[in-house]
Amino acid sequence: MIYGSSTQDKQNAGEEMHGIFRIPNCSVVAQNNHSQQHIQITFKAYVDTKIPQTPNLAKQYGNIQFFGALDFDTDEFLTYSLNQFDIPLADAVADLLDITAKQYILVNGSNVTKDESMYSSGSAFASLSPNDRTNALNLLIENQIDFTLLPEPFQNNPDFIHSTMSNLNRLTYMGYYSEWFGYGSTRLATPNDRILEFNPKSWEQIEYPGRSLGYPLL
Amino acid sequence: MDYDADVIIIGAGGGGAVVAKELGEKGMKVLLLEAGPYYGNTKWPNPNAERGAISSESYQDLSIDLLKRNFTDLEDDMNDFITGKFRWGPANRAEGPWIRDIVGRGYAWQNAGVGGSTLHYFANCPRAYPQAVNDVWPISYEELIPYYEKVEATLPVHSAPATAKENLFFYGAKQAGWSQLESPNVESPGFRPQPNAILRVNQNTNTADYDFKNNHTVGCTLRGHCVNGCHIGPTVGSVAKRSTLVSYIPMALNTGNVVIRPNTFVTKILTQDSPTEGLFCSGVLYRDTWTGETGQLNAKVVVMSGGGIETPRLWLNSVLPTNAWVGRGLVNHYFDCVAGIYDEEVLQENLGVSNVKPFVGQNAAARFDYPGLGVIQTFGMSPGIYSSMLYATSDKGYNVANVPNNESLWDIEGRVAGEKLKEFMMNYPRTLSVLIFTDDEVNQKNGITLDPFQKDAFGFIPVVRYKPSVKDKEKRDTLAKLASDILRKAGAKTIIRSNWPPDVFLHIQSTMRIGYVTDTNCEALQVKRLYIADNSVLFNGLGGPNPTLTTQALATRTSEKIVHQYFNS
Repeated sequence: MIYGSSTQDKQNAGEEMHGIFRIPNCSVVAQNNHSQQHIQITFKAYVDTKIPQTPNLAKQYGNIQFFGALDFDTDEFLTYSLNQFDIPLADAVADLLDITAKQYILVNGSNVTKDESMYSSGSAFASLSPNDRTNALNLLIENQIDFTLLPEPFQNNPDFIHSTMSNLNRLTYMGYYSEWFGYGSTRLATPNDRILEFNPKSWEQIEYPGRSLGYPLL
Repeated sequence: MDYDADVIIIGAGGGGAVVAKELGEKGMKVLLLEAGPYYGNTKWPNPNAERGAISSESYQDLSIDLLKRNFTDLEDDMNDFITGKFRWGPANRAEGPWIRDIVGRGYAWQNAGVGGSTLHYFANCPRAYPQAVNDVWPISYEELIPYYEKVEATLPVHSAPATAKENLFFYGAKQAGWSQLESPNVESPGFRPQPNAILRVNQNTNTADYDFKNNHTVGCTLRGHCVNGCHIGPTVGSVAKRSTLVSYIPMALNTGNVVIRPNTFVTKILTQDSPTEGLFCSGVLYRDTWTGETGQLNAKVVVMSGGGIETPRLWLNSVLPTNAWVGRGLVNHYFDCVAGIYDEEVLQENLGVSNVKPFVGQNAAARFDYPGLGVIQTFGMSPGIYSSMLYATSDKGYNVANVPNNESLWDIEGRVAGEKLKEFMMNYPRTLSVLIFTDDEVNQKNGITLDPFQKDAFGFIPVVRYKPSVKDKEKRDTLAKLASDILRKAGAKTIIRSNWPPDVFLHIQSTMRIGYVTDTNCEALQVKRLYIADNSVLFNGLGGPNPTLTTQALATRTSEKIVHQYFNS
């Protein structure tokens, strides 16, 4: 397993900095061979892993607890956020998840059940069960993936991988539990043009009443 | 030379705004430059959409109605790291945020804008621990006391009121055998209400059916939006949470001697050489963040107040004299987070109420101090940031993989996801969470350097590196155990320790240390007429307490030194 890169490697790659992520400028723009649909499928699988639909909780605590990130389009929030930078990142992150999944499948072979049609259409990460997706992510976080096989800008760049995966996790929770889904039809507008149309149902799940101007100190 | 001002201050945040007001009151002509936007000022009616004016110099420009429109109380709108109004980034939200290279799994959370990171801060104002200053700093704790008192009176600072979440913490601390601290000079462990720069709750609002919608009184309303920007009050200058935006800045404008220029990113410190003075600072180069126009401004004295990352970055990008401590010695209080989840019945029994609602009351209103180890303080806030801090940030991966050992006082360690996350967040109104600040050591290897190749529009970008020492880890583990003990004694059913990665940068201090980069007046040792007045000039991590008050006290003292040294005719 090879990971890490020398300063010389990075100098040769002629990196550019964009947004809060370091992005080598070599081939990210050129690698736009995934459709919007693929990004959507992959990110849906990711957010579903983090905040799933939970029929068990619904049975115990009421129907409102069923809903998860798939119901509140949290994958769109990830794509929206990652594409705010000068060089959009959503494509590269979807690739990162797929290649991680492929390596996980290679390592675990017959212990992994995958959806063949999803896998062969290029969505390796989404083809895995939620449990296997979690395990695949753990492999990545624990540096047990061959970093030379990862796409740019993640190739041989564990610092950037770890910071991206941490940010991805935080973004998912922010997208689900903040007001974002409540922007409704304006949720993908530019930040200045978003209007809160309703309180998101995630707030009902957690008994958060929303914005307040005050509470009495009784 | 044509001077644009007597003094130019770089950065209108916690430190810079204090210097502006102090110097303005003493009759100096001050030009206060800020990289980010200016909210609540009619010269910028749409601060995120249009460039607006160049500057403001009148208190009459301020508008509470505009501030209330700008601060929406929506946490993604205000605090999203990438698109939020408080992000470290340009006013224009059609552009992406500004860059730092954080080496690791963490992040830096700073604000750009008039008010700086006091825009989102909890307004906690503890003093340093005396033992971390006396015989350690090149000045004594006693020398700081009159400046502490002045800032505490000016902001002002009050003991925070207790709502259910604070009362639960105090209950647990008492059950664990701790006593309440009475003095602001902390020399032994104990708990106390936070000394907060937040105006007292107005007793008139203390009725169950009070009409908060039409509230025009002065005072905190316990609405729990501190971190997302406070706009509660009848005027900008009387807003409850005393960010410098609503305290020192309006006071500075009131002197008639201060001009504020937002959207102005300083890119270089200019110097000249003189046979009598040696190398001295003569002004700055800047870049307008809307138009990209560049320019030069000259002054007799320049004060750097851009914060723990940007001040060393600017020194290095200006190619000022080499100093082995420029950018070095970074402490960040090696944060951690511990949370307890409670059953309704237990809360009812211990507190008399069945919920502790993290979103009610001041965001951070109770603390536990332990000189020699650090700080434990409660916090609660709106759910998006809350869940990402508690459950999405860890050095340890996902909790399924982490089995706490027998010595742990907590039940879960690491990130929480899946059904467990939904279950824990269902208990949001019954969760009490604390932040831990470690008294971390100064280490010259930790700090800010420049990326040798990567630039943005303002210069080479900063690289932030931090590794805790073995002693730091021991202290933090001890604090985590103390915190868990308090939460458990208060009746917690489940305790989660996040175990944050070391590279989370909220308290960013001691990267341009007094005595090493500056003299004891906070004037740069190698460049005359250049002063530093932000968290970077602190000598160390103060023993663990939140740094803003100490920075503001020191900035008050530095203002006196500036006048005495250069304007005493």
